[in-house]
Amino acid sequence: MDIRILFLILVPLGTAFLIPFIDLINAKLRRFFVLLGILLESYLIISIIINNFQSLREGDFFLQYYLGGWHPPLGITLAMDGLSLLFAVITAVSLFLIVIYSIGYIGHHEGKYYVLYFLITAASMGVVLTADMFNIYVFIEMLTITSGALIGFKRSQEASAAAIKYLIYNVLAGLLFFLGVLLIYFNLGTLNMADISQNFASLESGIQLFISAIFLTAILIKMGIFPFLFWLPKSYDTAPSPVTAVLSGVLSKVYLYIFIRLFWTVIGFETLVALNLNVLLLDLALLSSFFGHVFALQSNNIKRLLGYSSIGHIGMITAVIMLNTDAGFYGGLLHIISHMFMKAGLFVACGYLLQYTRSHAYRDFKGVGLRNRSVFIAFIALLLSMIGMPPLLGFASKWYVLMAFLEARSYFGAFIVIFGSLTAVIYYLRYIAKGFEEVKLTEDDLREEIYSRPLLSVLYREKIVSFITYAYTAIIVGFGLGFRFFDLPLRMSIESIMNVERYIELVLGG
Amino acid sequence: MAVIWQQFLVSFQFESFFPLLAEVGVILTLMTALAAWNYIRENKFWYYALTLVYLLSTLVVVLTNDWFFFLFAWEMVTLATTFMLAWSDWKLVRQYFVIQFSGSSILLFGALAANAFGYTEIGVIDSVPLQFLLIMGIGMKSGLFLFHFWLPPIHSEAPAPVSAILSGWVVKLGYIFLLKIIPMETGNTFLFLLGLAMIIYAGWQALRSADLKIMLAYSTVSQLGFIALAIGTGGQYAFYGAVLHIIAHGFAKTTLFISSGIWQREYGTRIIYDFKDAVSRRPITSAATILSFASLAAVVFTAGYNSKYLIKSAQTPGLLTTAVFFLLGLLSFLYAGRVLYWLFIKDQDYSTFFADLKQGFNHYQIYTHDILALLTGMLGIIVVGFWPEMPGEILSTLVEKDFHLLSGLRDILIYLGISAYLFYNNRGFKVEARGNLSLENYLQLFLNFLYGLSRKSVKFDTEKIFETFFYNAIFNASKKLHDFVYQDFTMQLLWIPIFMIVLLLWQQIYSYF
Repeated sequence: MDIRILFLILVPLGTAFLIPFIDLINAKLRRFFVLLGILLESYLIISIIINNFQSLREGDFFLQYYLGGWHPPLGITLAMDGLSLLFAVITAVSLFLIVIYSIGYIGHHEGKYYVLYFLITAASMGVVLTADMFNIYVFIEMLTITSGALIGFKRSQEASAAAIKYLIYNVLAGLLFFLGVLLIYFNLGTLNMADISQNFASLESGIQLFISAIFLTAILIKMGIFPFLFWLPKSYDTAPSPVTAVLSGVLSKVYLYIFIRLFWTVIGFETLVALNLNVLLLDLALLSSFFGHVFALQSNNIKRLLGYSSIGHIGMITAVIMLNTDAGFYGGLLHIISHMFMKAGLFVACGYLLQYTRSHAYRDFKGVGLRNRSVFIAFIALLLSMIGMPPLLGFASKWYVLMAFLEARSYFGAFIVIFGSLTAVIYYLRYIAKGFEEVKLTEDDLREEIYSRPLLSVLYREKIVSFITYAYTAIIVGFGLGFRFFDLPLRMSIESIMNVERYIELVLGG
Repeated sequence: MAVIWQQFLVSFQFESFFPLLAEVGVILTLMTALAAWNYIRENKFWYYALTLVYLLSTLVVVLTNDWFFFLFAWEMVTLATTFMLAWSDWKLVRQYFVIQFSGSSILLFGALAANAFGYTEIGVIDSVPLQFLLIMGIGMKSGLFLFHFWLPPIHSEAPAPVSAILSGWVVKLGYIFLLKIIPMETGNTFLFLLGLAMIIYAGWQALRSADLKIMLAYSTVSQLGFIALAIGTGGQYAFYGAVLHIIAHGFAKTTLFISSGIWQREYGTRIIYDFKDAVSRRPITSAATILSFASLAAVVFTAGYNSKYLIKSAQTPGLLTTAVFFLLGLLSFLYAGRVLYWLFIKDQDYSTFFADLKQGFNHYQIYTHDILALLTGMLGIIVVGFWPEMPGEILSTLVEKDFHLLSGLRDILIYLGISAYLFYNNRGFKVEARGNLSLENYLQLFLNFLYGLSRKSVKFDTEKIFETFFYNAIFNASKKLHDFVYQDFTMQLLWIPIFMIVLLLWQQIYSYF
């Protein structure tokens, strides 16, 4: 029983509910309150790590909290093992950086923005920590609704269209997920993950297949794997930059966490193997990765391009996880971490670079690098990391992914990794070259420029915005040199993924 | 961090030829650094910083036996040399980067495949398909036949000290890697054939160039062919020959590229027909040029003779071998001798030689640094020429080896006769200087060829070839795929039931395969 893991969810939730009241007192106080909330969250995580450092070292780290004192099969349990801790830490770091960025970036309707933002924080923490199926469903719905509202935050026609499309897709996925939860409850009479995991094999194979298929469809829609990748680039493009950074950096990783939790802990990988679904999923994810990279080639819009490349990377991560080997998880989790920081950093940098341009289109990217030289250099460093240049974090993670594919003799996967790097060179070099092109303004250009910009988007606090960009670059470069730092947490998480019996025993018996 | 540092230190191996090669690499880099002191005028600090990075990473590449550090260090070599090209033209930086990046991705794939097949350290690899994959991997970086297309344009356009680095040592790294992985007993037939093709094709191209630096770049490819051939032959003496040839050619080509920079500054041109009074203007540079070309042409008592003799002696003896190597030697002698003929013999007036020498009417100032660099190169060539066993244990068996200097001398005299006859009768093989030799022109030729299959040739705008090729061909192809996959919204939603049906019926579908 450790109450701090409950507070990990309650603190952002409380912040979100208190922000409107703070607004009533003084709108300027809000910023400090927001900072206070996120700092408290960080303090909680750091204190959890420090207090349990010994058990982390020894590999028997496990914390749980029974809501209302009801014990497992009946009540809701919050549980934190190695995998949850890793995801909680990286999610919190990313959200911490992005909230500071938002303080500099969002200049209007700040109150609403922060309420939604902290609801996302609470929901993603909840998803990572909970050990109850219905609870996960609730948090997923919370993520969907809040992120949908944030995608339409600009209130332009495009943004609203993208948000509606996003909501249709994700609410459908939520419904499917709910159906799956219902089926599990009617067949097993329990909602506790450990309990389900213990009894799932006793179901007949037809029902097993149906439940797995429903959950798979729901999760693949959420992650944006091939047949369901359509909502993703559009919503990445129209949302404000910090929101896109959250969508790509945090939400897709949280869904990957759910994917791992569901199909390793709850349903069990043996079920997928028995149903022969693992082969299908592996190839589907690789195909999705291929499509993502190919579509990125034709994109004339930098944020959409980054969205397509996200599809490529998430497909690759899913595929390497589907290998179900230690090496596969090592590479996959490391790439989750590196992709989280790289993509969030890139979107954050995009927000700074695109502040004076008419649109996000390729032709308007001209001369961007000459105007903001230092930020553009940070941007290039992040792009090189996406490609996989050696001293950066992207290289280390891609290396391990490639090793995992080759070790499992999955040559299609190895090909996709190399192919992704090569196409990435092509589509990123194009934008870098455009960024260094001189702008020669003609009279028509000037007129168009003046008339097409109803609102002059000058950043609220420019220093903070560029500082966060440098911070992301520093993380990429620093951990690129010291990626061995992640060795202990990765091994810990792999241990907790692979050792399902221990999880069941700890949740039910402890 | 500490663990990785320990691994890094453990991975160094100081056995076999590699310490010797590393020392030579350091000497060559210092030579180019000396020569660059007056050649590079702007941003000198950055140039030397890059040289330092380059130097440290080449040492790692030559000495390490860990795949990761090997690839990492080679990537650093590539990056450092890439940015050195910026002192000439940013266009070269981009082209060189793209080419080297595609090369290193093949190499990365090969290295990982080797790793997956159980070769966890860089060492002798027995499986022939893996050897083939790794040869392909270094092919682009080290200019093996058919992958050498980028080498002449880029090596000739680079600043002279950078050309010296690239041609003298960077391309050799691939062959040093091959020395580690190809088994000494068997060799590799494919590599042998590639080497033969390189010697003949690039030698012929070198004979037909009027531009000094382009000629030097082609002769680099041709001499690299000897190294590839030696490694492909297999056997102790062939490998010794390859090592000696790496060293000999390193010294000769570094000296030649440094002196070519000086000639270019002196005359304002690189066309060899325009050089007049070379000896009286710059006697030491002339001596260095003559000695290095002599080493390339395998004249006795130079480094090149020893290495080529070793390579020749490692082949199966017979009439065919003798004839083929006689002709290959003749080709090298011809292209080296032709440049010397135009530089120092044809249309020269030596009647007032000593008066001119005293007067010293050179246009480009004579710097001590340049002279020192050239003297180091000459010293290297002569030392290896007279003392092929060199310090250390590894080549010590060469002391007993008989180099048959008399037959070498006989061959040189025959070559001299033949080439004198040929030069006199063919007016010294005078050919027009080729137009701007660049990768864009190659691309244009290729596209013209493709287009010409259906129509008459048209002029492509090669300045924007990057734009047009990638972002019309690739762009349109991916656009088509994109439009095919992206149907309207209802169709997109239809994927959900379709996908679920596929999942539910997957057992049946799977059983059909």
